[in-house]
Amino acid sequence: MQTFASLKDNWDFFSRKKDYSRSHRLGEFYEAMLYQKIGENNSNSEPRTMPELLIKPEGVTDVKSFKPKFCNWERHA
Amino acid sequence: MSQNNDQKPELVIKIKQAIAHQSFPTDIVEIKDNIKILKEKSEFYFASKLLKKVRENLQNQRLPQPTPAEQEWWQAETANNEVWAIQQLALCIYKNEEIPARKRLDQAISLLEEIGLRNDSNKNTETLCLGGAACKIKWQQFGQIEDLYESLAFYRAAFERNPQQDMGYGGVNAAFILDILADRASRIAHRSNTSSEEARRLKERADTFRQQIIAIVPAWLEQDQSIIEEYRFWHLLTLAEAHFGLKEYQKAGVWLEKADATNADNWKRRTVFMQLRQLAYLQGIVPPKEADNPVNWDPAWKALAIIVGEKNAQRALTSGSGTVGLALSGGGFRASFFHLGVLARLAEMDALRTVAAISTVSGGSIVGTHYYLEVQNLLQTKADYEITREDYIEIVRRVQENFLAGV
Repeated sequence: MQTFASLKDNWDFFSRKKDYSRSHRLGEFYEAMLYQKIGENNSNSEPRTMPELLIKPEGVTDVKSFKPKFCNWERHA
Repeated sequence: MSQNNDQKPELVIKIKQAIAHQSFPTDIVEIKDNIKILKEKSEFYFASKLLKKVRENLQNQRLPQPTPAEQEWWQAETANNEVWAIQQLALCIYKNEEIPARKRLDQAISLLEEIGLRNDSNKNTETLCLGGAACKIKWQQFGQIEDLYESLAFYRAAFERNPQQDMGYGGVNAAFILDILADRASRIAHRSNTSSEEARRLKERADTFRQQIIAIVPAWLEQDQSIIEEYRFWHLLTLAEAHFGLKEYQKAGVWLEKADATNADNWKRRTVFMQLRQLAYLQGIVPPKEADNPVNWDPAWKALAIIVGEKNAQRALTSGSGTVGLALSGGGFRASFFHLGVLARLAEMDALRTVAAISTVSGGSIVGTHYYLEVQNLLQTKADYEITREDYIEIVRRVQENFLAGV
């Protein structure tokens, strides 16, 4: 509902048709209302990059060589 | 459990960068060192890339040998490095789980065929055992019984054609496959209410192989102090598995302790663990439950824990052998709400811990992304052994609360 409720945003949809859509607005909502709230370090407004989505498990010293396909079999979590 | 603490991360990066820039070493000693380091880190893709180049160079340098007519090129002493490169290439290809199973296994077998895998005069146990392993994995993946028989044939050939070079490795694996076949025959007989003469015969043959290994291999191992560490691990493991197969778990534990002291690579410990676990299942030993104290475990599991550590063994034994995937379908917010309920129940059943892959679409993606980021945060902030069922319940509760507040 919030996607369609803001007059300013609706104006943006019409005035910036090519690079801003309701999907963009929805994405911003998901980020602001859901994903940004996770953890302590993600409260800033910077978007996440793909490499940041890779899990770097606590206690693993050589993070770069951690490969889920080869290492998960002996993990407990 | 002792692990290889020599991480060499900078060296691995340097080797990978050189391979990526097509800068390959030419000295065979350096090549072997690089392959060893890459295998230690499970960098099978880069190891394969280097080995393909090495193999190509050696193939181009190969001269027409004035060998006896009955000898194949791969049997000549001058071909040792090329044979080594092909064996290692086959190993690195079939170990690389990033490649689809059928493709990597067929490729590995084709490579081994080039160096006489199916030639009855081949006494190279490394080639034969690699062929046995590739066929065994093929059977595990696709369940075709002829792959299992083929694996048995290669392992037996290694043990019977060249026992001292084999050091029991092919023999103990042949025994393992005979046990699988005996179990299959026994179950069929049980189902059809007939006697299982074949199962008894297969089991007897397996135990005879193991007894032969226990009788001859320790003396060979004692005599030959020049065996390099990489191979010593497999020889010690062979003896451990021979005892394990005969249900002599304490004796198996003694050899496992010795094998563990060689600081073996992670992938080797994984291979051993998987095989011994399956052997224990074939012996009808029930895996422990998560709440069970390791002190009260069956002696088979206690022995097995030596090679991977008690905590790792607990995880690997209680989580089963497969990987679980979670698929969250689309359907707008209705789908999201449905998935929140599914996740809550899976968390209560402590089933979310075994999920290794998530596939989502549309409404499922909203929840799936949210859940993934929560799991990422959990795994990055809390050590594995501190994570409990309650953590997953808490994650799903937070996802539900934020989702409801968000909409």
